[in-house]
Amino acid sequence: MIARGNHAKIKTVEIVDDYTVRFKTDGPYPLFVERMTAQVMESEKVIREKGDEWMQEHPVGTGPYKLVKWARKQEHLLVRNDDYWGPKPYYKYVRVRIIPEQATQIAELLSGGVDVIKAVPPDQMDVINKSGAARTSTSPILRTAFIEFDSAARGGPNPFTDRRVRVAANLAADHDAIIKHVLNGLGDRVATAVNPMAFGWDAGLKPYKQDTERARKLLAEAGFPNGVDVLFNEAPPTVEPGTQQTNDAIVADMTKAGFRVKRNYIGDNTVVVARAKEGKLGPMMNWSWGYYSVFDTDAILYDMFKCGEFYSYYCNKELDDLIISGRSTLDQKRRAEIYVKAQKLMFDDAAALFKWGLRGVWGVSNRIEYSAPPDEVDRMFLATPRKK
Amino acid sequence: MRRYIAHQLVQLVVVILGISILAFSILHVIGDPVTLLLPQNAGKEEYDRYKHLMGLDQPVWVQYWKFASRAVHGDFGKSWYGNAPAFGLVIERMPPTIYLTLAGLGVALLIALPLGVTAALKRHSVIDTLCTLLAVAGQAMPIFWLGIMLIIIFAVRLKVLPASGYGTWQNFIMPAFCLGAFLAPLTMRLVRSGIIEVMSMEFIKTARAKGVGERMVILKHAFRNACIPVVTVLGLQFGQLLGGAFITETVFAWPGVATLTVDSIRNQDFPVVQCAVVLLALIIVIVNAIVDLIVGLIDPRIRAA
Repeated sequence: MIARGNHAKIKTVEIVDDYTVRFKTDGPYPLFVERMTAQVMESEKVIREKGDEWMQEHPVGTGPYKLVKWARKQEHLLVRNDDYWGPKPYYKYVRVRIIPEQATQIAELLSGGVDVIKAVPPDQMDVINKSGAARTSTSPILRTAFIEFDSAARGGPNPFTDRRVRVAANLAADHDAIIKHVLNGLGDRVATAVNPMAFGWDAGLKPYKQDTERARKLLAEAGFPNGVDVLFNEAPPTVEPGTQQTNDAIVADMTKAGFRVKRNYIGDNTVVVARAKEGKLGPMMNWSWGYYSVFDTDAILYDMFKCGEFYSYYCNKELDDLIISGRSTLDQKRRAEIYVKAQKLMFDDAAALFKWGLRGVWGVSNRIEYSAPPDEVDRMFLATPRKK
Repeated sequence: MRRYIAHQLVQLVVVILGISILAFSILHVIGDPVTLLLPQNAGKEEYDRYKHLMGLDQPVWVQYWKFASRAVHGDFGKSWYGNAPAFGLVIERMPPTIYLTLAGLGVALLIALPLGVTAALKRHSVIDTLCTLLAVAGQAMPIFWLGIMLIIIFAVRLKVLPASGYGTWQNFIMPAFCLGAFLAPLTMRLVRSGIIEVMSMEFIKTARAKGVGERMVILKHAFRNACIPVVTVLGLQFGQLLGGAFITETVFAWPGVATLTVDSIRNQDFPVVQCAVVLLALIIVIVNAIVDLIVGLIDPRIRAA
């Protein structure tokens, strides 16, 4: 049930022999292989005998570790699965601790209490790198940051239903400077919300360059010669480090271009997600998307920019047609061409305020070798002792 | 005594009922838990199905009646996130919270009692001012900041204590100190003012005239009479700490009831919130009743009244 949406196109499954399974899908399903990497293998025998609920408390899987202990909201203790079919992990035990406060996480890393922490804020990187006990590991990640406009007017009429206002917002901010000075270079500028690592990304499409004068002119053409008032709903920096600082910079730039931005900080991500689904986060809200570890343009376009989807505040039939076409063929060359058109359309129509692909920053103890994963999914079976 | 117990029981029922209705009503207006529970790409059919499974498609009063009629038997339903009995989840988190609360109160008394007595006996002196300043400094420092500072000093720099977690006596020291430092000033002031008031009374002069040593005068006579408001306030603070130590629990990754309750409110996990609220209210009412009894033991005149 939980992952059903990701596999809705699978209609039937037929076991051919001990090593072959035939899946029948509802039409061409180009993301089939990528989505299957997120599918968890479970024992049918155990589920039938003990039930779903027992399985949730005592997971039986096929991975390199087994669950030993689970203290809810506190920690998980895993032990190496010596019957694992693949390479055995080096470390026998993995303990996953839940530490809500970021400063405490960093303290635990520096004091040797933990070996890996994730989503380190850029301004704490020096603290970790100079500690002598740990270092930071960065990697471009699939997650792409942007600011959504309620151009579909889900929350009611607003200035961003006018394309000129949306373009003006994109021209207002100097994202290159923000990446350099606020994020310490930890970001990759993008022309749309498609990540450079995703299949179908158009390398030839260049991002908006800051042009405050042109932004002012566009606002005047749109009927706002004296500027325009907009509400900006801001989410907490749970997955996008440095959000508040970068939002400060963007708002400052937008103000120079004639936007009078009223900021509303929503301190709880659960509330943000709920309001987003209900269409109540407009007219402007900061957002990011992790693609569900699927390195494909469809993994963002469908959920974030297709008309009528929960998180989409943009509605353009032409784009919808391109999105459906892109996922209705297995011809990758054809798909790439479709996505080039889709990105050009999104860019020209300023479907959002496009920012950057994020860089993940992990804190890693000097006792181990471990690299930041590009899809933000930690695979602790890859950790090994650090050679001195 | 029977009348007192009957009064406490009626009070308990009224408080629990009132709080459960209030919590239930507030939860139902703050949002839609089904939207939060379902994955991002769930459709309307799944939404309606889950809403029906969770009983949220029924009128609020029907939902409350079903909840209340099960709750009196100890069944608060299953957590919508943890898929485990809500009662079990809350009870599992109670011991860490209760131990931390008791440890915090213990630290508060360790700080407040000597400082309060010293300040009272050396009234208007430099020592009185210093004691007061020390205690107030503990309250002025935000718990969040104090906690992080303690972690940096004792865990990161000196490496003598663990930075966070629960399980060993070492894990208790810093969070208990944070809570104690916050509670101490009020307690210290009560001890100080209580001792000052009592020391001027006739029975103290009588005790001294009888040749009782000064230490015994203070500990046995003055303190016993001065501690009644202290016991009452500690009882109130115990109740506050049970559900209110959220910041301390967050900073030290302490698996207590406060973080469970706040997380459950955020997730709109109604069964857990309702269970936590009812159980906490129950404990607070019981603690207040115990405090009343202790006060009665200390001062028989109160008992007789």
